[in-house]
Amino acid sequence: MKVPSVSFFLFLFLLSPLRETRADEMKNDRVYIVYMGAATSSEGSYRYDHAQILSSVLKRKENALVHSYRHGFSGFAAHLTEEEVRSIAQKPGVVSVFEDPVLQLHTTRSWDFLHYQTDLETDSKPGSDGDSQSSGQADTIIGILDTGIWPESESFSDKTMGPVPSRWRGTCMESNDVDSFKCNRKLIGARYYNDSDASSAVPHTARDMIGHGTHVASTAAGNSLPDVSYYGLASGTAKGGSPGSRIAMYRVCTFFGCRGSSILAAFDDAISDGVDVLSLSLGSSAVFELEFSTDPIAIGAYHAVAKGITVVCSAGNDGPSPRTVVNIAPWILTVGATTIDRDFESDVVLGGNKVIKGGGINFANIKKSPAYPLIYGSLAKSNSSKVDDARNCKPNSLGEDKIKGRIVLCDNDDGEYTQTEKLEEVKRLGGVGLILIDDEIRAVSSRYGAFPLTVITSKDASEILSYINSTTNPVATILATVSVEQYKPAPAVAYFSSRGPSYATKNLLKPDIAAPGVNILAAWIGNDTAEAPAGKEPPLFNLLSGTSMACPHVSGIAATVKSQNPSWSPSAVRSAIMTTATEKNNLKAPMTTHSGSVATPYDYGAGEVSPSGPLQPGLVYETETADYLQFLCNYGYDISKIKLISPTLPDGFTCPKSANADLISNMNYPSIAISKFNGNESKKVSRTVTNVGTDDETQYTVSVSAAAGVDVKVIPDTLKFTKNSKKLSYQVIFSSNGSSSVKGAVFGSITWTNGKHKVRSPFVVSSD
Amino acid sequence: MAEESQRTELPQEQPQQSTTIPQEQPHQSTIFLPGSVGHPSGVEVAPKTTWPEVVGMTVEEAERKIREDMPRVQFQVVPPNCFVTMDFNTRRVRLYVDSEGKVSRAPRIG
Repeated sequence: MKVPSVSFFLFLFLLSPLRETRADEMKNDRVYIVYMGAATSSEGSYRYDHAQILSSVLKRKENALVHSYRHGFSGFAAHLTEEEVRSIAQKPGVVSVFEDPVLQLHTTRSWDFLHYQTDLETDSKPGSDGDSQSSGQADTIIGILDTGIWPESESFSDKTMGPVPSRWRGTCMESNDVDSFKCNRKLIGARYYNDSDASSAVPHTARDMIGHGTHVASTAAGNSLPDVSYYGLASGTAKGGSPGSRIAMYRVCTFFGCRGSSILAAFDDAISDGVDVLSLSLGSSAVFELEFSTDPIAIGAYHAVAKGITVVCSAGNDGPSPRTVVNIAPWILTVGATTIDRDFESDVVLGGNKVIKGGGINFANIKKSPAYPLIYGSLAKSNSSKVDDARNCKPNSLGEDKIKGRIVLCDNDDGEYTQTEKLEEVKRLGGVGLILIDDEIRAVSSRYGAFPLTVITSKDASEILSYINSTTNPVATILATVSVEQYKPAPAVAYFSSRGPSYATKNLLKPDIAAPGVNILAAWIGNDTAEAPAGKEPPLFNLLSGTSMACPHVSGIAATVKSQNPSWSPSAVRSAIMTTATEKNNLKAPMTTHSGSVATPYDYGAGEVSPSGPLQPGLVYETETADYLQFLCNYGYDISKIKLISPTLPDGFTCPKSANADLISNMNYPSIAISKFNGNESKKVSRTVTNVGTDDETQYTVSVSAAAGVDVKVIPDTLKFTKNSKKLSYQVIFSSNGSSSVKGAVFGSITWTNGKHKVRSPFVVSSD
Repeated sequence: MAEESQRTELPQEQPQQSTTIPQEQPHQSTIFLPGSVGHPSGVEVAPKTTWPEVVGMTVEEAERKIREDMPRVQFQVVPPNCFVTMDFNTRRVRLYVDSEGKVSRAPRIG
């Protein structure tokens, strides 16, 4: 066996004992596995590149090496800093760098990322509370309005479930499709609603033909399933937010969309069936600016909430423009989408082995070394086309002679052609691969099958262009996708996530909360051959993005909160989720948007949801049905319009003469929103909190994170709860601080703390 | 939208590039490389109304127009009073139609 001197040097370190590392050191310096692919043919010897990387690591820190792999495959495990991980990941020969699974919680990934984020904030033990279904917790039933469900998925097997709760009054509707649709003790109910249009050929079944409903349901409440992946990517344990919950599916959507009439009927049924939580990854486009009184989701949700059901809805995908958030009724918990720390990386390797990280999912199988000529689209135009069209690689703008056998770098700012069209065009002309420049879609990993397509940022594109300028013969290759975790920064607000302010009123902050909604792996329908890459079986788990995916994360958490606190109202559940959210990312810095700028509550509401925080919120803001009626009065509705939403009203109910839009800010909501702030007069809002902590006797003090130009006073600044005093009120007074005037919207927060619980309410003050 | 950025210039050919703003507006001559859809930090852009010219067309006309340019996009025709699932699909274009079957808003990818 050939033993180079470097190997011998390393061999000594394998024998030295692992240094004990303290928990805080572990956070900065975790164990990573560097996977380098095949081992060499000479048994036990190191690949030269493997040895090189190892020695550079060991130079920095003697006892960094944990294990070295050189028999079946090549690689090593070592304590590495994040900087080292980044640097090593770029080296040729390194296939992937990922954290040692032994030290991690389950991957795949969003739940573990959320727990990790919470633990970072609270310094609590990893893996504590939140997802176990211990005895003594109430059964919860999550109703989902969607495209249907695939009952055979392992996500919905009932092996671990006890008998169906006797209070359940739902049903499992028979289906007329070929495969019989069966419910079980996990999927305890299913209904479908057919189009009022008799000519439509929608089958009579709750069986999902699209995939969306199955994905959403498994994210909310799917069983914990180890070893799943998307064709080897993103592998780990897939589980729902509340794996102990039951699921009831209400199929209101078909290929055309989801009819309002079906949605209303489903709400009606779900209420009488007895669900605890309703999850709707549906909505209209913000362009329509639906009125509460004519919006079936707002109407249905009002009734559900009045009956004690927590209703969670997605915020919409019309971002990043402002005023795009939908499902904005105050009785709804509105969820925006963020990324997680898993990235699907497909790297570009340039001549000289410079690596540029790109994103996207491809199963490319071209040469791993930069062997292909690289050309920028604008230099590859056909005789008759315009440079600008060729720069964007538009169909029929490129010259075959310039594309064939080459890797093509394309812009994506035309707004006319999709990635798929450009991929097809480059492929048609014999191109070997495509590097697409697009900051927005870089994070949302699209699928490109076997074709080497990767998406890079404009910043990285400049580097590639410099390289192209620097040599007469630029070359490159594109590597197949690997999933990389601990990507930083994360979370970041997804570019498509709809943003506030609400088009209805600036005196209510929407969205309420954010949750993972980019590249989420969850269950899929069983027969989707269209989704399978060439030569592969249909996927049982699929990756999807959207506020659709974010919403069931929160529904699952809501169900968990409800199972521990069965008597809590929907507003208490919502409050617990909002006041325990986090605004920081995994760099311990303020969360950013997709573009890198600091995000605001218009982007993420109270912040990224914490799976465990809501279980112990300390205090909650309760909003009663009467408060929602008052909201409608203040919004400007008269009794007849209010009756469109709630046909029955309390005896003698009228809107007070004092009703006005400003008073919307006074609704007992976990966040605060003020508008028309001109600095000349102060604005005052009041809030009431209920002590739900274990200590009856406890004292909370307030701290304010102020916004520029605004003076914020909280009166009183301490709240003393006692056994007899569970609900206390305070006022917040916003006034100009004289130094600068508010233009547009400014943000801050007020936080009540008793040393054990932190209760944070974001606020927005808008000049208009 | 024009974005000015200090970037490396292209070799030889093209000393100037114009931003490609979909459809209407006149091109502005700015050095603009590489293409990015005008997102200077902190500034939000208008919704990508990628095919405003199909508003008012029937579904068949709109699909034909869009398919001329891109044969493989998946369409979803959304009738009035219909809601949609909130998955973000970069291969799909939704056509919202009114009660007469005419496209009621400019379609965009997603």
